[in-house]
Amino acid sequence: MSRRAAELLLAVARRRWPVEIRADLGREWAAELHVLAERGQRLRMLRFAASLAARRSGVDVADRAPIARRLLRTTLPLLLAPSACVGVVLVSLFAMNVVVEWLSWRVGWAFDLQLPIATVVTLCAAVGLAVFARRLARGGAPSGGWRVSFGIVAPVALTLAAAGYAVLDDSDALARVAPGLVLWLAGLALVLRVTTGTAGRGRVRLAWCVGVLGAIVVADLATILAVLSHVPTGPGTAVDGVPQGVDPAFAPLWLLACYTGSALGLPGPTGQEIFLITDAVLLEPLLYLACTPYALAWAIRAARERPASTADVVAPSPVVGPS
Amino acid sequence: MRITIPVARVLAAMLAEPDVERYGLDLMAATELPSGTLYPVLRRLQTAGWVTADWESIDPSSVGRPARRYYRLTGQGAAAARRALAELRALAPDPRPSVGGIEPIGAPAW
Repeated sequence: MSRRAAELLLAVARRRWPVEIRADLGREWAAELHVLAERGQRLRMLRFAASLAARRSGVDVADRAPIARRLLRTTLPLLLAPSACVGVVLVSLFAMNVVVEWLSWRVGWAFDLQLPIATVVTLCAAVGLAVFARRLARGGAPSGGWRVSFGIVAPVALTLAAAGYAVLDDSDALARVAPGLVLWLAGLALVLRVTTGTAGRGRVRLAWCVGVLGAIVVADLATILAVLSHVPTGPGTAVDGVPQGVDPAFAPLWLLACYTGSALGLPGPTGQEIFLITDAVLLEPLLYLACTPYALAWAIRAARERPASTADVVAPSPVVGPS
Repeated sequence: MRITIPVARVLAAMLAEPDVERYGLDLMAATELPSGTLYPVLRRLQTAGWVTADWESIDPSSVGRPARRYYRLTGQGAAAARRALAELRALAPDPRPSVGGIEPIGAPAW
């Protein structure tokens, strides 16, 4: 019984060490445990295992970065990044206002630039944020799979929920926004999971391609859902002869329309539909654009930082030792 | 390499017999360090190249126990350990004035 308990404690202890040395340590500790068990030193055996299990980390304990630095490197960026993204969107809207205001006195088409300006400013700031996040992730805790995916998406969800409560004055408005955001968050989590899996296998370029394409598809689907929950499809009712509905045939282009403010020469969506679409989902596409680059950059970098599997470790060479 | 008290204890124990290979329980007894402190120290020393670790070459079925892992100071590690311990001793506070002309002897607590 006590040996079984000690073995369980050692299993816990092994998980605190880097993957590449776990097998060797497990073998070494099992040998020592066996000797103690043979001698009938149960208490010593349990102390041996418990001491190892209680140790938080096995590597460079004395040189381990202080908690404050670890927080700064991993937790803090992931918690603050979504707020930075919200800030990026607000700054881009402010910049858009300033530029359009200035241009409106000089050219007649100034208001056509509203969405492109907001998009370009958001994208530039988001890429800058991604470069910064990538650098921070290099010094952060290596991770992958659902853990990093959840670690990125959960703070975004919390921040957006908090921002939603602060900005939207009634629960009905919140309920209208929620489906699209929930779909986007779930989709982003899935995309990040796939991306980290690909990056973890060393295929970084493919991971970026999968991540970017997946993020576009997820944002597109979220936009479609959000628009459909706001705006009726088909001609719908008409106000002053202007239809108040959207044609779902062009639904995949709605996200693009939100970024460019035009159909880029395509037959749809029409100018009136773009007005309805951007009226329904003005901020969400910009938030997707602001959040996605840093999320992908962090996830891919964290996945690349993960240690190799035990299969890559060279087996120890036996030598003659004292008995 | 940062020389903490546990590191100094391990180095002192290994320097006592530099050519002897030591296993985990042996070092725990010599240093009076718990396993949760000893193994991280050994790992740090290995990473720094001061200590090597090798598996015992035995047939577990005939000996009746699994092979152990033995640690030994490298040449570089022994030299560096001597220097580090000497520096620590130099930093240690002066001993109290001797009584009756008897000088304190022996190694520091580590």
